[in-house]
Amino acid sequence: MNDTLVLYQELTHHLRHAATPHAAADLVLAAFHGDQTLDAVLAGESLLPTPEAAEVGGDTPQAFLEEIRVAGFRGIGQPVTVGRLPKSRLTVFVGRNGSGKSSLAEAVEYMLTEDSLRWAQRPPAFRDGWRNLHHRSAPEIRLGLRLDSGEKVTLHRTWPAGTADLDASTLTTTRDGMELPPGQVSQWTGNAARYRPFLSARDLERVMTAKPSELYDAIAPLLGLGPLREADARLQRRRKVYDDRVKAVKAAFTELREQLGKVDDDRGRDALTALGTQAGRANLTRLADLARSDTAASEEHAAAAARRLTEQELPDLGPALAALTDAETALRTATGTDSGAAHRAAELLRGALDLHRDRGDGPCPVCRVGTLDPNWRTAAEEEVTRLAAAAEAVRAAQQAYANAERAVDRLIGDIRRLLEPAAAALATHLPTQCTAVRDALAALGPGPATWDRVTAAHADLVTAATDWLAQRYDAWREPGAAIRRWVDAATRVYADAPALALLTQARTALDKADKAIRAERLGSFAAQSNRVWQKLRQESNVELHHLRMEGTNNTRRVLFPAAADGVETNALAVMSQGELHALGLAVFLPRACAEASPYRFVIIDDPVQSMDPSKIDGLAEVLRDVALTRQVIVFTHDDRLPEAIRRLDIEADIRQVTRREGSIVEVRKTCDPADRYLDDARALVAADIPDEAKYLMVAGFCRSAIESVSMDRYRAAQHHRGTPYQQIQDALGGIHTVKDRLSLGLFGRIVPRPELFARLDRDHGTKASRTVQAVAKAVHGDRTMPVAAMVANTAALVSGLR
Amino acid sequence: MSTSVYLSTADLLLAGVIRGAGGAWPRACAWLLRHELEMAMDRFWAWACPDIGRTTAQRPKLLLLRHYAGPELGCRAGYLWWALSRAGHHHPYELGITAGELARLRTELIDVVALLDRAQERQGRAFTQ
Repeated sequence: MNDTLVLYQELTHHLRHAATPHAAADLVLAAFHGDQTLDAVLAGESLLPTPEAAEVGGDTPQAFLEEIRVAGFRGIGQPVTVGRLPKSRLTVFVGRNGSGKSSLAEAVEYMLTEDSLRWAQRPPAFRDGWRNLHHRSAPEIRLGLRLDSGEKVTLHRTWPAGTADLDASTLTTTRDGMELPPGQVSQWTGNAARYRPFLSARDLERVMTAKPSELYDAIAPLLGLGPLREADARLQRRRKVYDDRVKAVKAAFTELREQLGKVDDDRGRDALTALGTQAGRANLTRLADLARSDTAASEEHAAAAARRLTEQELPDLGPALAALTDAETALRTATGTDSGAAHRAAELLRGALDLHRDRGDGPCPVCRVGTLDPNWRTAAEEEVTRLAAAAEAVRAAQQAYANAERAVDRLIGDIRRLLEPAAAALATHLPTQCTAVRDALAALGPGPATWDRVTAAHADLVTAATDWLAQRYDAWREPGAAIRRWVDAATRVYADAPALALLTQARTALDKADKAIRAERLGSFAAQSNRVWQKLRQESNVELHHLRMEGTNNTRRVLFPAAADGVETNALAVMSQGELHALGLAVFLPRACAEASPYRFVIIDDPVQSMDPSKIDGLAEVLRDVALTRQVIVFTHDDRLPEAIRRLDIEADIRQVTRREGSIVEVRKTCDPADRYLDDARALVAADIPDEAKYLMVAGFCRSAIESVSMDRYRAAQHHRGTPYQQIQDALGGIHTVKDRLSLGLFGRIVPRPELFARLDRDHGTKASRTVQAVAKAVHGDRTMPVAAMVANTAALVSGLR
Repeated sequence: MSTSVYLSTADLLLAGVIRGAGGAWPRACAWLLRHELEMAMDRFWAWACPDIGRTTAQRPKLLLLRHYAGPELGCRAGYLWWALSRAGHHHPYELGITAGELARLRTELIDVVALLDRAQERQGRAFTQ
């Protein structure tokens, strides 16, 4: 099944198991799907039940290695083709140092990764050696891969002939014979770096040489938790948006408090009270009101008075005062010095006229000289009319004066009613101007000077009030806007709170699930490592515990807890070179064989290096186990591993790699050295070589075949009896002649020649002892048996000895 | 020294021109070269001391060579014989000798054989006197 789908199901399982609330679980799964789905679910849409296969990527194919063809690359000159690699089973390439086997391994590695660990950490000179100088034609590497679907994929990399530039190659990929355009080459071919199906000595050394973080990075991708990390990153990105808003509101809260603290009026103090000491508890409604109105409650009165003061015209007392003065002047003129006399004369004349009407003509009662007659009467009546008119004028003047006086009084009242409250309201803010106004008002009377004083004081007060208002407005404009902004931001954060809480919950749930899945997967990886180590460990006193992955970012590392002779320690500190090598295998072999890897093959270059003989048996067993499910291709520089494979009866395909002058590399398949020697002997019999030389060589191969089968027989028997490995090796190492080796193989010890020959003839036919003697003598040039017969007899003896 | 059949066959094998010889060549070359060395020593002993030459075991003959042909040549011949024998025998865990090693041994062989043949001429008189 697809890895991502498996991970998705594990995640679903863990979320359910941990009883994660639905909303949070949905969010985690949506984040796993991708950005779009996450945004949709955050926006309130519901989550699809399972991801579409297309959305998470198709199944990974499984690739087996079928054929390797290399020419002109490193130690390989003329083209070498290694074909018919068994699909599951162990294939071992045996060759001496410099025989070209590592070149084969590196060719595969370079093909798939376009790099080689062997070169990556070396000076450029190492890299320059990629080209084989014995090969004049175009270098090439061709890999034949067979997919589990049955399709054949061929990767073919060629370089122009004569180029020294490693990067000048072109890669063509064919699938079932059809060439794929460069863009369509499957993704999985790029996964080689992740799973590294190559284990070179350099890979194995990485447990010691790599930085802790590099080792971590080498193992982490195997756990396949990348999609979880990505999902977490998606959640985190969205959470950060909210977090940033909260942080911004908190930061702005502090700033706002500082800013309001500097505003020296009650509005600032009111706003501070509404803000409180915690951003989360601020009274947003009150703050919004404060921001909108530009006045504090306590100053509303003064501000209103000031505004009225500046808006209203002061009534003009001037004309009324002038009218009063005029009325006074008119009155004074009308009531001159003779005004009383005229009045009295009029009264006297009215009395005389009344007397005249009653008595008729007669002497004047006042002067006694004049006479009251009709002429007098006419004149007297005119005089009385004139005097009455004059009296009327005085009364009118009196009336006008009274009117003017009332007008002035009314205006003064108006002015007082206007200014006194304003002065009182503003007294605390503009004390000087208010006092001046009040004093002027107190002194205000009919005198024009008092009025001038009032107008001057009023003008001062209006100017001051205008300034005061403007300054108040300016002082509040900034804080007011700041409060509005903060209230807006805080309102949004309050609205966000449920989403933020959900995201936080989702991340916690994901983290928990991640830890659980990681532990499970690492556990299985560590268990595989441990199994490999147990096999390889053999006589080592170091007991490896489950490896651990710790830390994050710069502190990430892999730990190998171990016990040496029962004492807890770090494996790297106590292990020998060979043990570290084995540890490298224990760590990297499970990685190369990860279930998720598209590579069903693993290539191991020289795993035997610096291993104890006893560890090699363990290695052979490890390789056998891996070969049950993987194509295992091993390159080794000595015969110890093939020998262990033969002795432990492990099914394997063993091929020998030899390199001649001129970088001619030959790969020959062989199951057993004895068979190989016999094949060589047969080939020589047919070859066009002078007889003396031919006899010597054929006999030599026959001897080697007998020696090989005898030694294998001795080794297997002793191994079966439980003889320590080294003891077997020592016994074999001390024996040099074919007869002694045969003796060991047949009897387990050296026996006298007659006894040996008798046993040979008894058990393996009468020709057996003759053949052995003929072979032994041949090295000195004695020719006692035809070469064809010698080979046939030897073959019979060899199969009898098996 | 005339090129013997063993040496020339070895050269053909080294050059890779013998049809059918496949990968058989490294070990076979070693045998041929060793035989070439043994023949040169036989020629030396046949002249210097036929009694010793009749012994079939090579080891005493090589040890005695130091006395008869001088320590340096004795050592060189001893080492060469040992190296070629080792390459020619089947050893557990060891693979065939490489082309480079063979070429070096071949050069050494030519030198040693020439020195052995010349020693007969130079030192022969001393022994007969």
